[in-house]
Amino acid sequence: MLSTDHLISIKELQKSDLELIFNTADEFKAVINRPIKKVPSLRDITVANLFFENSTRTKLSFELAEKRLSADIINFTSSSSSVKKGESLVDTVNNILAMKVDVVVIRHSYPGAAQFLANEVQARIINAGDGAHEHPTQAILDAYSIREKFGTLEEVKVAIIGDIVHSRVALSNIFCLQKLGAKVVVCGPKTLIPKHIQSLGVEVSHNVDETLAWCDVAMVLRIQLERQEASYFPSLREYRTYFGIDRQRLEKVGKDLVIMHPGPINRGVEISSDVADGPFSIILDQVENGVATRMAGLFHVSEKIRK
Amino acid sequence: MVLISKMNTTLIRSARIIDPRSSFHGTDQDILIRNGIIEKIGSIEAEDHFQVVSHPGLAVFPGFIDGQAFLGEPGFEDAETLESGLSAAARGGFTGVFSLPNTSPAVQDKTGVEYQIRSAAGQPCSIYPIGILLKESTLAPLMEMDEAGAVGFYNPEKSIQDSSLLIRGLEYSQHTGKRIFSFPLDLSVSPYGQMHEGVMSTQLGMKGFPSLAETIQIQRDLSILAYAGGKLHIPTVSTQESVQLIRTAKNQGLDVTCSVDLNHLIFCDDDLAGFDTNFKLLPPLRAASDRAALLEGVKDGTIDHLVSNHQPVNFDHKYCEFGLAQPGALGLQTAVLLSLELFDLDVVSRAWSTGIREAFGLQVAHIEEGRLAELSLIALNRPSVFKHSDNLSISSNSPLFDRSFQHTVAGIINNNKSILYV
Repeated sequence: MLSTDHLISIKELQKSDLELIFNTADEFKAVINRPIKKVPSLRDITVANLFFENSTRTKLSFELAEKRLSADIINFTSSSSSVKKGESLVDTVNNILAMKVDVVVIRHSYPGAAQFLANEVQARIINAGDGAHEHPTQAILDAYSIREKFGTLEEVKVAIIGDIVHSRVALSNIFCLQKLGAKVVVCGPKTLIPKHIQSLGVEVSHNVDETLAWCDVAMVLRIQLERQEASYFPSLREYRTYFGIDRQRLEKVGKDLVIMHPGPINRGVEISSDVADGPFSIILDQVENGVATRMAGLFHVSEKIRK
Repeated sequence: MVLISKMNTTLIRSARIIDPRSSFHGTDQDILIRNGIIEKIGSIEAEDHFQVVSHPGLAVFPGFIDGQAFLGEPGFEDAETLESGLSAAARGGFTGVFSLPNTSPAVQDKTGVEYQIRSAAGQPCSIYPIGILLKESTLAPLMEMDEAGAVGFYNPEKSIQDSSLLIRGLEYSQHTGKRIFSFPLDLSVSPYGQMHEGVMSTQLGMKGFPSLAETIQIQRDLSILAYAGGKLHIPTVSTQESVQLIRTAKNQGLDVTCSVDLNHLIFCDDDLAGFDTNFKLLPPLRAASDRAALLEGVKDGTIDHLVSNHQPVNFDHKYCEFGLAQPGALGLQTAVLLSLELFDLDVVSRAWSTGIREAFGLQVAHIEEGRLAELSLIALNRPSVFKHSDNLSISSNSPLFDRSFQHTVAGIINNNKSILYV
């Protein structure tokens, strides 16, 4: 049983919660590789997927996880602009809950939106990303993928490289990796790294070559082109030259690395195609593990409803 | 029990006088007030027709003035009205309130100032309207508003980005002798800020206002003050660097004063961990080290006075995502009680009574025979709780509901009226 009622942030989870989810995910991963990919675990549960911000893969991943668990699903998609037009988050959610929904999966552009809902509505909340705050299921699937590769996260050296400041993934990953005993370095141009990030216990580097030489796992983050409301770096060309991960860089390091990326990828910007599709990449494993770990998360959050 | 009365003769029985400039400071005395004037201080026999005020632990201060509160009217009556705001102010122990001018329409001319003063006439709590400094990029009619009774000039929560406007404002305001307020936040440093930039904003994934956004504004303002002259007021300073900048400027002889919001003396950015929108303030709650420096600044007099920074916000603008919520918190009913827990009584007296009056050129209220009776009454060591049912504001955006306080506001006496709450 999880120690929390909701799945809002990694920060509030215990290491035992993460291990519980991983163990359940192992079983669900076996399920989704069987000829019959479905179990009846959530057949009494209705899940609402509320995406107030654009998402493709997280939404698909959740939807598939819910379907594999036989949950009933309703989907709601709204751009953040309609929130600005006066559409109240609470009203939208209350309307949906009046239809007797048990679990809400929410993606929202504002940090704290998932916590706000958890405080205000009678349903279990799973945070599918709230601004640059947390995206716990992404961190869980990333850690699960590393665990699959190394058998453990203890002492595994993970570098998170790229746009940390706008990332909804970085914080959750830092908290998650640290809880599981991994060592974390964040790397990127100064303008894309939060000024006080060292207070979280991570090291900061601005040198990609040195960082690659240090790490076992390079988690490459997307340059969030749509969030560049100010000039954080001069051009994509310059970014690619000094911070992008390509084959030449990896060859220079001269050792086996695990390359990860939460997607969607800007090919030829933060990562070149030959790296993204190359032998070190586990990017597609991440996608598969996303379904299995989200099934596990949904399963354990729903388990608490029945209690 | 609340007793509001027009006074004829009131006898305050055996109260501790907290007025460092009074010859009765620190002593327990009876105070006889007749027709709004302190007639006698000493040992006084009660007569039948006297209204007698008597409580164990009663302390009497020169009337407290809140240097910054938004009273909503006209234009924002869904959040506050002059009547509700002044009731809350009196309940919080204030005999006067500086009202912020960003109403709709704004207090931007003689009529606006007169409307506020007229609306508060006859209330035990007086109103001191602040007028707008700038109407877009032109000066508001400062001399006209001064004549009508404006206490200073300010565009709340909008820093003056154009240096030439502050220069002209400081120069022209010298015809009035009044202070120019300059909001200490350079928004261009962080246009999307939601809170203080620090460890907590990093953990919450929120964009922050670095302390730098405040200090570079104050540095510029102080340089301009040295050039243009006039009187500058920096309202609601929030960083340790700001306190030091102002301390140095005062030592150099610049005519600058400043205030601090009580919220910044009890809370810090750690309190935002749960995304409670009642902690979303402007300037933002800063780090614990800033709070310590602000407390020190009040104690050593660098910070001239305290403010409640009462910002009533309609429920719908707080009951939403943090990023969409309006900044501000109620303060009128809790500020004095909080200050009594933070500072000794002499500092409280200076920070709410003499400091603000000296900074803004108001006649200093003294507890002496023959002076106007403008008094704030506190029942010391009589615990109180700020309950929802006690809230006199129309809004309810306070992080302090159900908090226990060590002391109780016993009432105010002002404008030949008294309101007694215990």
